[in-house]
Amino acid sequence: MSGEFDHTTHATLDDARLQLAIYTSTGRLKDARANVVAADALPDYQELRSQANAVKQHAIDHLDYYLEQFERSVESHGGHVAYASDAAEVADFVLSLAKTCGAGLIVKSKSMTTEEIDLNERLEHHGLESVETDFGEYILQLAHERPYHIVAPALHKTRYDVARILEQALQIPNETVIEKQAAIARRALREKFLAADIGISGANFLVADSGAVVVVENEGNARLSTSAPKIHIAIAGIEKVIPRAQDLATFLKLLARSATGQPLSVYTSILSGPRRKGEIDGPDEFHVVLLDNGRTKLLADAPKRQSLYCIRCGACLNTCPVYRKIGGHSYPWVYSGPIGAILTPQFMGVAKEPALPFASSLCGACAEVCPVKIDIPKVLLDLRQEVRASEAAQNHNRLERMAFRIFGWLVRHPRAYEMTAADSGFDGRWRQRPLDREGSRSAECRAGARLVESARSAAAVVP
Amino acid sequence: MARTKIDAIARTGAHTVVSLDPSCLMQIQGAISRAGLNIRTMHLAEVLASR
Repeated sequence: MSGEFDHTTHATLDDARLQLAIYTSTGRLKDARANVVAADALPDYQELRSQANAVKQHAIDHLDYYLEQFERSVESHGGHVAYASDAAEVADFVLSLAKTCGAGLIVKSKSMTTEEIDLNERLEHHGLESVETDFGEYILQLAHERPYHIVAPALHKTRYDVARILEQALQIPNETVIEKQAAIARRALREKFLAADIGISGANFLVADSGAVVVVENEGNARLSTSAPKIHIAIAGIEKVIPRAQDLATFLKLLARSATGQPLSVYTSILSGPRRKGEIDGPDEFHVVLLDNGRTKLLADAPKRQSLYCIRCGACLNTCPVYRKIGGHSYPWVYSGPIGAILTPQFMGVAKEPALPFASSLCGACAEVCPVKIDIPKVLLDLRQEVRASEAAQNHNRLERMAFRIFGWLVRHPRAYEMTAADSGFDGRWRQRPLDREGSRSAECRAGARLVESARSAAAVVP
Repeated sequence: MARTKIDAIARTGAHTVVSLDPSCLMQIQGAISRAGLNIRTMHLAEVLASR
């Protein structure tokens, strides 16, 4: 375990208030999801998952084709597509655009991809003001924290925490009523929307055949961010592309249900290009930045390629017994929970994040709720193997390997195993204590003998 | 995680916990004995073998 992972984990476990906040919030999301995907609420749920998995697999396997198609479609509507290989290239693109039009203020809607590349920090470093307009993200930006959860970034903050953050940042009286807090943020943000030169959004889906960027949200801030300023820039990972507009019917049915337990989110914006002649709303310029940032590396690895199917619904976080204990900030990167445990080592390299693939009990709850059927436990196991292989290459963990070699020998030699188990006094911890208290061996032997006997008699019946 | 589980188990008033997973049993049994509870853990195979 790396030091920081350990430290934050223990701090979270020891904080009773935080434990309660995580447990109740994730529990609420978890129950809400369970209700709307139940057989009586959504009878074709399992078919939708299979369909979503198949579409994602097809899109990711033919990513080159669909990205080019997407690019052509966007440009046919008067939009512009740029490719960025890493965080610095995205920042350069935004900065040069801002310079050309003399922009100083940017409004942003919630996007994990921009969190991934620390976009706000990079833009602020060059003198631009970049304001988060999602309420949760706004709170965290004021508190200088990174998201705690993929969908609910400020999940760990109680309303009293929020009151303190708003009080300090905006110099206003302490306000603990949630609706009033939202109104305060709304007033502060409304001015930013009206004054902003550029709006930046992420994308939930990029539709190849129609050149559309689809943004799913609940607060209306993404719709304002993408339509009020003169320039809209959507920043999306290359894996977000889906082939056809009709595939949205599958994904939109799954996304909000899996994320928040809503049949559909409050706003679903399908944005395809700048404002056209005769239209009242929309930006003058429409840019899509397609980000690699390590995704092509995952693409090259066939067994783990499925990690790119993720639609960032956060359902695996809410159901994960590990996430629900250690919380989002224990994970070393912006992606937390089970999906973070498989994405982070693959993006950063297993040698750099060797602890994460082991931070799981492999209970399989994540795979069960995943709307696109990513086999997270399987990927975790593959990654564990890679961690061990990389450690072996560096000759780490000699002791552990020796221990396992001895254990391997022991289990192949029953008599020696019996002796060590009996002598060590470990009996009950090593092996389950048999029901019969007369002596572990006799009970096991008798059970074994009965099995052999019944097998024999069964075999005797067969002509 | 183990504490959450044994709290839930204790609330049911059960005397025995049966599972199919040896490592779950090991973890739960460890937490139970450390908490000083009088609850037994068994693998399903043990239940069947004792019939």
